[in-house]
Amino acid sequence: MRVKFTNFPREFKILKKDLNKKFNKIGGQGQYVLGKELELFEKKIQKYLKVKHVLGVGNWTEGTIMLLKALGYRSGDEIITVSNSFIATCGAVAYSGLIPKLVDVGEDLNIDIKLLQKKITKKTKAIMPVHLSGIPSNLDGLKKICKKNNLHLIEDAAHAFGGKYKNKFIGTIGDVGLFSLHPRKSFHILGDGGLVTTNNTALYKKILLLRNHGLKNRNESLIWGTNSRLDNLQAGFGNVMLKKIKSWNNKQLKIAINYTKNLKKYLKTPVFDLKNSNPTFHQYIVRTKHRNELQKFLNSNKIDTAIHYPIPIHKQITYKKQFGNISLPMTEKSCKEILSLPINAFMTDREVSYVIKKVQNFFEKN
Amino acid sequence: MKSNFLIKQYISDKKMKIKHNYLSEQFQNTKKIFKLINDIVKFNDFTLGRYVDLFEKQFCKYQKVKYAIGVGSGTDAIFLSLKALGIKEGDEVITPTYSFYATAGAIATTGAKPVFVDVKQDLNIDENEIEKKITKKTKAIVPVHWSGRICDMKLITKIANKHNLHVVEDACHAILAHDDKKRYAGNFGITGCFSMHPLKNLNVWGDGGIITTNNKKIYQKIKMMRNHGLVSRDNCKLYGYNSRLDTIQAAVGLEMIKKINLITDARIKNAEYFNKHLKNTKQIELINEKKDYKSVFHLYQFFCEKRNALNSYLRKYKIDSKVHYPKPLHLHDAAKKFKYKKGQFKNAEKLAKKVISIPVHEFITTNQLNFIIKKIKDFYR
Repeated sequence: MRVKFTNFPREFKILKKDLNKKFNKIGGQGQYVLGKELELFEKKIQKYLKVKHVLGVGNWTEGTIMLLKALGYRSGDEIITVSNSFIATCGAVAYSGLIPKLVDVGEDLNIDIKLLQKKITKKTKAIMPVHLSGIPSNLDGLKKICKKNNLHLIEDAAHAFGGKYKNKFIGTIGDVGLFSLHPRKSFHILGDGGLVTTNNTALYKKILLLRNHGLKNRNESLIWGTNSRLDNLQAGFGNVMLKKIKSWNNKQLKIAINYTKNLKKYLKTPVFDLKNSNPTFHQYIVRTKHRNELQKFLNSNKIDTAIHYPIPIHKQITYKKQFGNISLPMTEKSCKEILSLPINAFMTDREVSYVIKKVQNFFEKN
Repeated sequence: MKSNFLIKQYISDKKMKIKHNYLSEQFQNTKKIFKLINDIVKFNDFTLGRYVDLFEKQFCKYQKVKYAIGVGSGTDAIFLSLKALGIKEGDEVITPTYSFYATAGAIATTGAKPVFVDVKQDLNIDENEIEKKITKKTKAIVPVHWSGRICDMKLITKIANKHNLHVVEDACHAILAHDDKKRYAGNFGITGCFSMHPLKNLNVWGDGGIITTNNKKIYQKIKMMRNHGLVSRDNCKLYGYNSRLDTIQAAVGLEMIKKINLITDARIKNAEYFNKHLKNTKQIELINEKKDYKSVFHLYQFFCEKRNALNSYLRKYKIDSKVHYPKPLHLHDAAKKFKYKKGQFKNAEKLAKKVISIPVHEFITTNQLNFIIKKIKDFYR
């Protein structure tokens, strides 16, 4: 048996008819840029996430860069975030001329709020937690710290569409939420795309202008903007996916619970709290000292795995060159131990059992 | 503020008989393209996949250039080019005041100041005005090949070389356009920036752009920059950006590019037909073509008396005439902080009041061309 990390062919089989229908509808109308499907998509997401404003943008990175600009931050301002994330988290900050202040993570691999206070300086403008793999960060704690220090709370919710924290959707709890719709995300389209969500109307209006050349109408530009629009065609595909996302997230959560129940005596399973949250499990990240051997063993049994992420951001050449050497013990330790097991809504029960059995075999043998 | 003003425009576009927006008509080969999308999904080839490579290669062939890089849009093409050249806050970039907002927007997004220059009768940058604007802070010139008509690149290159400035071509309208020596757009500057927005001569079915260059170093740098500065999945060499041509859009582009010669020829033929039949209308001033240059007519424009009245008149007869654009860049609210004044760029301001675009694309029939000509003549009778 081969267990794939993602399974687009299975997904496509289920959706093919609907996607083709959308494709023909949108093409027939000839609406490719800022059309009706995008408006509909944004409205549906508003309703789904229970948030005031939603904007479809070109991708997560561009959404973040536009947001940082709209918030009026200046060169030299500091944003606090984590190091165990995809490079884009830090890239968007550095690219905007701002300084990423990286803090260590806790056992849940999310930002460690105990370490925050001493990182806050006069230049700090915002905290940007990453809800890694769709497990929410300690949002209550973060909100308190942000309020006390007058900082914005920017949620990097790239992995977390549809996940909840205390009955509210992730990405709607801070000042603004940033989602990725990249094909590898649980909630995705068929190319690059992103969403910005906020309850702040002034902020929404600014980003609305920025994503379309600063244009108020066809002929009048209010601010120099850029071009970062979610394609109408992709929004149409998103409308098809949105119907499924709830059941997909539920399925992934079920697999995660199953993994945890059966694997926790062998390795460190993800830390999550079902009483207070509803994680999406975009990835299922375990930790073990025998990571490399386990990965090899699973690989030889045709089970795909991945590492999110093998080199933390503060160890990347580009970070060190610009911001120097820093030490984040937990991040550094965990990056040698983490392994993402396959998890997606298209796995069969047999595949899940097979993964469990093979992990068990590995530890029982050694 | 209306959240999305384009939807209204799509609805009014549809009411036209002779359309500016021909995308419904263009939606062909849908089975084939959907099959390509199917392949992309099957092979999980979404990001910078095989079709992006193939499309870039094809584009190089048509545009006769060494390297091409698919990016998110024409705007991003200009922005990434400038960024790759190290242009930043405090720098100045020279560009014509007559263009789409994106040219100046891309410059401003790098933090540099767009320094505007007036245009000539063909709406391209007035080369003779460039040198006056060069200061110690000037780093680059961004000429715009407006509507697909190549600027005087010989002179611009000379000025740039003399002052040690980069030239980044805004070639968003100019696929297949060339000068009298058959040098194609995108081969004059350090980079050429093309748009594949749905209404361009070569388009995809969403936002998309492409950067051309003959410089290997710049090619490698921009290739990294468009994908987070990554050299491999887990190694980041510089803080980049995310601006990739979607793989499914590259598949659309691969189908479209097969027709680009036919599309271009049809547009040129239509434009020549208009020229022939409108040249004796004394209220109309046609745009002069330079000898042996190939202009590709992304737009067909002329200058005319009573422009707004003519525009309304044609639209009443369901001819989708448009104004690209009624206001030069230096007069927009966005430019306020740079303190430009009304009257500063006389030619651009004058021409913006007289310019009109009439549909010129490949789906227009001879009957429709004749109808447009007749209605223009009727109006002035």
